[in-house]
Amino acid sequence: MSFEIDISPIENETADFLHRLHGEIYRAFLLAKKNDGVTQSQIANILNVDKSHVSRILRGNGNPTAKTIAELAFALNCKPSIAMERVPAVGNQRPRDIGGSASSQAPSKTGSTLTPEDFSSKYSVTRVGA
Amino acid sequence: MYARTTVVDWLLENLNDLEADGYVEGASTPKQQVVAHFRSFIRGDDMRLFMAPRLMRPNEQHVWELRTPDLRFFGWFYRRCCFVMTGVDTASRCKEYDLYTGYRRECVEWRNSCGLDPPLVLEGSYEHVF
Repeated sequence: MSFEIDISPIENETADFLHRLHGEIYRAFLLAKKNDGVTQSQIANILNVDKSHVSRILRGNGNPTAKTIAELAFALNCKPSIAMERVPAVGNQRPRDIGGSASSQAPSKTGSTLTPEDFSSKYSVTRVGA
Repeated sequence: MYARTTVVDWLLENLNDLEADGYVEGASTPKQQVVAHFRSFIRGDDMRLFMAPRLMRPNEQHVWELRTPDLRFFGWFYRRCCFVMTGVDTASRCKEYDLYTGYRRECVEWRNSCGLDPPLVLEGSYEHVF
């Protein structure tokens, strides 16, 4: 018997985005730690915040703002990049219908005008320089 | 991914009401964490990059712990990428009451009694089971 967690499509996509974001931040931290010996305390000093705040973000328990991500990237000698990629339609499903139940969908729109909901966002953090 | 009914029941009873430990406005809820983590597993992401799965000690029992920031899943790999969850709890409870040994034992006892075709366990480290 299969089991499915009841979650709305928008919450599902948000959760996936945050998961990937935390993963990218943590990966960048591991790389900086390995290559430059960067510690959480050093990052906290650069960001002028408590070390526990940095720890929470790296553990995935935080909700870093775009500004915090930019500062964190600076501390890790990285440059964050942003891409908003359109989700391809599958079959006769509109992109935002994918993975969700019909009952929890917003009313579908007609026409080809792109709306913010038509996009999924993606952040990634890349290391700067050699 | 497979799960004992006790795990499914726990998720149904608790997941909607759980809040992130050390509550931060907008941080991923445990429910979002679970959905994103399972999705990442199914997608075939490299799980070592963030909240890496842990092979519990003693390693010879081949019991694994999958982790989200606030939750812990215990189980074993029956086959490659085929994870069977036998226990779940909050990270805070696992740490506070040191529940790890109990969940590990429960996993071993249950898999020995559930009548699966041999070999019962896929042995090895991350590269062997993912």
